[in-house]
Amino acid sequence: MTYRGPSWLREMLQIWVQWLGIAAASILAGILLGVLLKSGISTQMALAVAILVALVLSLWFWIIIGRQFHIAERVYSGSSGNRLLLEGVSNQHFAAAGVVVVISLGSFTSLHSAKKPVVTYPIRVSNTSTNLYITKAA
Amino acid sequence: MDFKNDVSPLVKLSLFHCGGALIIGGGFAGAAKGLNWMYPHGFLGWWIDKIELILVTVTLTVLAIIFVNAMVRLLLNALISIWKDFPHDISRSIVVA
Repeated sequence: MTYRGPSWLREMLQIWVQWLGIAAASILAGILLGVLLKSGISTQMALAVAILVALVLSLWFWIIIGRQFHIAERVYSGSSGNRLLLEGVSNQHFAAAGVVVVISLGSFTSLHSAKKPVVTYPIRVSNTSTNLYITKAA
Repeated sequence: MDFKNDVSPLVKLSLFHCGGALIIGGGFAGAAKGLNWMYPHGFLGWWIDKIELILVTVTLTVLAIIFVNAMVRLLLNALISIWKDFPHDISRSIVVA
């Protein structure tokens, strides 16, 4: 069977799904930015890291989605004999990527919770009339 | 007009990309507005601000890359068509005109 070029509808669908991938990457990077800011990293550094992660993830999602569409197109036109192999490799890459993203987010979250400052200064309690005052000891 | 054959590929791709960016950006902005309307004092606003900042930055960067890529391809196509003397090439007529 001969190879058929992409119709404009399929092309449009591919581009819009690729933009959805960019939105997903931006959401992940936005959450990463929030976690970094909450963990006390400076705004400039957190923005630099988050935008870099967003751009890398966007590029990666763009390529993966484009490849998936081309694989599907070859399958539909019947010119691919190794469909299962290609799909399996892509799915494994996608699953590995998801695991890496989840582990990264989890490690940032655990770092954030582990770095909470513990205030251990001594306090002095004084009770004058009916009010209770807690003041920091000199 | 036959959309498949008559519209130049560059114009067609530009329309698709601008439509995709508009739909994604508008969809997210609408969802954020709806969430802010439903939960006016919720903690989601701060996170939505951060996600929106990254989304705007990435969207503008990608659109700029796509635009520069299209311009470079158009110019290279025109140069090659002039060099190889293809008189009816659309990119040549765009650049020379």
